[in-house]
Amino acid sequence: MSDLDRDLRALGTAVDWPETPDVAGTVRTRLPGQRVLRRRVARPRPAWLVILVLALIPASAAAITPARTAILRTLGLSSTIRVVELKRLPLPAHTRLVDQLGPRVTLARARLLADFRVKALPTAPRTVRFSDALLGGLVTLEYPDALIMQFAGRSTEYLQKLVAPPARARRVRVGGLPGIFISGGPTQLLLADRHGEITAIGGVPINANVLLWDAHGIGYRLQTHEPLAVALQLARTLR
Amino acid sequence: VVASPSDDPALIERARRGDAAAYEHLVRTYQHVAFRTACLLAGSAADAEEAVQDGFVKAWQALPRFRAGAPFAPWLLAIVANEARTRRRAAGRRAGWTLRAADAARSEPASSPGPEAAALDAETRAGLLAALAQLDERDRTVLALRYLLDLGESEMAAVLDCRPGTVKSRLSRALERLRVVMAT
Repeated sequence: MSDLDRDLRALGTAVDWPETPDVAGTVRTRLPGQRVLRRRVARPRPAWLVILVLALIPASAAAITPARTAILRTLGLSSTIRVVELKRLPLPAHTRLVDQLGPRVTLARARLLADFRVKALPTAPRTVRFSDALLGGLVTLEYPDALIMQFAGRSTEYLQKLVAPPARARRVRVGGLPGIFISGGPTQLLLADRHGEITAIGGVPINANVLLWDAHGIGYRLQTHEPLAVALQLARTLR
Repeated sequence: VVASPSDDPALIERARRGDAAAYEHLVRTYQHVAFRTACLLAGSAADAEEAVQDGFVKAWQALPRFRAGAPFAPWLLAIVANEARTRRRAAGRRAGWTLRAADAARSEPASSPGPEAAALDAETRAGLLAALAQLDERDRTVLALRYLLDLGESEMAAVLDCRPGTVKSRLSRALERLRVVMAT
């Protein structure tokens, strides 16, 4: 073995690969003829693995059971955000999401508690909530024309969005960073853990557009009734 | 429970009969190498993940055509590689995966540099990465598959969609060009 051979082999263990996602559960739900949603998989993960899940559902789908879900495709967005397209959404509302967003706090308090730099629009938010359901914190800012959520992305966490017709997801750029814009259908927020187990679902579907993006490890979700151009403008003014 | 390659024939046979649990074992066994291969070819981790998912679903659908007794990895990697290339073309990306050295401070135990990597000093590592970056993508890919992913010839041939004999010559030429780059 030459020195170059040896060095190249050594380099193989020193390369910075992204963490391999566990796709086994998702793949299984997508196998034709399989009707299992996602079974819980025992993995050596910390207990804080809670994932914010955001769903777009047709209002008539609220009573569909999880076992009937079929995944059409998954759109990844960095390691923090993922959009899952379903034939229809399986999610019955059973827990108030607002309880999972944490108590109301001041913006200054949220900035103190969060493990990342909390950004805000130039105008003062109407309400601010902080939740420790996610490692590093989940901060929700409510404005008259937008709701902005942000959290510290970890490779083991996902902002997951379930999309079903008539809503559609498309890839966009947010200030040069990869993003996804979802429009055309009502939305519903929910929380789930990494294995797809739902822990909370917003009770009433919200008819709004949603812009998702990841900026250097911080995940953002901006919900607004405005079109994409305005959503992008709002995103750009976050400071 | 993660299956080992020696379990493959039994798991594949069960999966061919429609046993999704058996197939899930196979997915868990091969998702790591499939994902890294897809990263190299797709150029983004997000696209790689999609390629791996779609590749595994397509492989399930193609299982009836899988030749019994054949190694599973080359067959699977060929499907995943095809998915990754498709995504990359759709995204209009030109460059492949950007190789970077791991930051020792944030390396996880499972991926922490081994004795070989530790022996590879930072200067040599940086030099190698810079030299690899100067190669054309074809050369860089064949070297990465061989040395960074430690794939065998049959697996490389499947990913590169060529004959095993061609892999040898491509690898040899890529190594030669790498030596030239490093010498200049």
